[in-house]
Amino acid sequence: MRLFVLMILVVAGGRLHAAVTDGLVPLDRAEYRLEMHVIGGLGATWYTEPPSRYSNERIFTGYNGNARIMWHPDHLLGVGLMTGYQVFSLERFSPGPDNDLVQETKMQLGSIPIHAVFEMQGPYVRIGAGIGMYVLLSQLHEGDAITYSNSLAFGGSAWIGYAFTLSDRLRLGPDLVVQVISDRGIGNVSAMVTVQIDLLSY
Amino acid sequence: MESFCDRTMNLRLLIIGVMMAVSGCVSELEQVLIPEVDRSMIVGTERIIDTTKRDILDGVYTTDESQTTVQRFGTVLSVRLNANGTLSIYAAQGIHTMLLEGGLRNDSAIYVGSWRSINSPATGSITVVIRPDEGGADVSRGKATSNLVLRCRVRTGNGSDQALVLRWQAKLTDDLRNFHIIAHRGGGRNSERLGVSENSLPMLRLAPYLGATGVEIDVEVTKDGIPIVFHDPSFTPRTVQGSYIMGSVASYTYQQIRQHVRLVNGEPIPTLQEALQTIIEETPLELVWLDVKQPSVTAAVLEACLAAQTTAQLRNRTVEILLGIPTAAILQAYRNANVDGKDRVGVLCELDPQTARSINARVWAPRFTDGIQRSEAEQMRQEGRRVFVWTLDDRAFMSNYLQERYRNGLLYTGVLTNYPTLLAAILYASKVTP
Repeated sequence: MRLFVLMILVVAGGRLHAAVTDGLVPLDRAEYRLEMHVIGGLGATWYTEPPSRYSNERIFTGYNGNARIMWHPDHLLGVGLMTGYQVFSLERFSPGPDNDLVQETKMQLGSIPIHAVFEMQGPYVRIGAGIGMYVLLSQLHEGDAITYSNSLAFGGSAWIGYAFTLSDRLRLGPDLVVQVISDRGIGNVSAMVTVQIDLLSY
Repeated sequence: MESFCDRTMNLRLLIIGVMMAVSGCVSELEQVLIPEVDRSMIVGTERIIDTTKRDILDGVYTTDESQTTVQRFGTVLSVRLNANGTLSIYAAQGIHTMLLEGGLRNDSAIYVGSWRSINSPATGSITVVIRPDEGGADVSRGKATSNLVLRCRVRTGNGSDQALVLRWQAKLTDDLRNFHIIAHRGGGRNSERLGVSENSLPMLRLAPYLGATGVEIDVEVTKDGIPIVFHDPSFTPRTVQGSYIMGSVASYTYQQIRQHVRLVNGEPIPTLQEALQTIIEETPLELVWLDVKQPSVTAAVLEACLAAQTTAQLRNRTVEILLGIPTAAILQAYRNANVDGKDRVGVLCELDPQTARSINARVWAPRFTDGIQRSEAEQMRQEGRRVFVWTLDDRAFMSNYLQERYRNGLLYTGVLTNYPTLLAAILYASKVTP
């Protein structure tokens, strides 16, 4: 299933790239830009196995707040780095007859993505993909005590977005982002709003 | 016209996509479904626990090459009665193990159980009968005989039913009594198909039935200093279920680990004390090799060893518990440990022979990649130390080490392996003495 979804993404990416390059007006030549993309939104995360032993839930909602620094040389291609913070899932459990808990417990999994990203950017449509590490951040709340832990995982992301031009240096639009951390069995789809700011043009 | 850069961008997207796809393609191992065993056949049987009778039945057996089961199990199989009266049969071909329950009824012996391959999902059921005139009466009376015939019915997963006739060929030689088949990580790192997790209590209970006479278990330490049986310094999907508990083991207290963490097959992570108690009280295992992962826990491990030795004495059990010294840091921690009676805990040194001498290690255990090291091993044996080797998983390497002799016995008297069944099959078959 994961393979199927990823292959669809690859094919769709190729088709969209063709659409962007063939049907839209290219950027002005000889213009190099440094952009900041500020992205925020809500996401749905699914796990291949339940993330805790107290519940069989495998799909959760969370939120994302990321930023991309992109360098657009004299071409549609942009390259850059993405990072931020996102919460994949948060669960609360109470002691009860169906578990062996002794106190109120809250478990949360978040992450900081650190991705090398690539984006094809037309005047309106953008498609991109990123690959890199996720710093997974776990919180275990038991009563008033909190235990933090972290771990590194390899993963990838892909997105498609549309941008409305607000001014010469500012664009705004929706992004649909898919993320996969395969060795942890985690997938995420997020609906985001992206603000693009041209930091520098030369 | 599409520019060169545009075409290369398509290629880049494809490469990125393929990398993501490949990273998502981790295939699952096929589930092994061990068949239910019909125990009605063994109602009223009496388990063979008596050592004399066990010695009669233990041995190397051969089967007629014309039989269809030869293709699966080969022509030489080893039979060993476990201390609790269950019967184990090992076949090197296909790395098969069989575990059967039963015993004597009148002048016959009847066993029922299952067989399985360790490196494939193949499994099925098996019944074994020893008729009175084919050795059953002799075993019942405790009389040695070379006329032992085990008549087996082997059922495969597809329901076919085949005959397998095993004829006694040779005794298991005496020096095998002092040889240790040591299962890695409590039973074998290849435990995915076994339905139990490495370094778990169920794995320890299963290890003897896979052919192990000893186990190596790993000792990590919790935030509050409790020694637990766990291999890795951190929790990862390879070893534990769930996504919330991750990262360093030392981030969590023992109570948190006990409450929230389950191994990949659902077992809780045992403390070292629980593991040693299980080995002493619930298994016939004769040796435990403790692989200490953190210097800070060395003193606590020594104390646990001393307590376990006392428990074993009270239970009249002979279990040798060896503290492994795998690194210079653990060595230093062992030397610095201020524990009363620490000299009573045997030491297994994985470092050089000179270090083994300096701490008066009972066992010197070099890694197999350093080669056979005949002269060093002989020197250790002359000094009264035993020599083990780790970690042999390959049939050819096992055979090479088992050919090395010292005086009238084997030079290496212990082998750490992920395939105790394979080692058992090779070892017992190679030690035939008509």
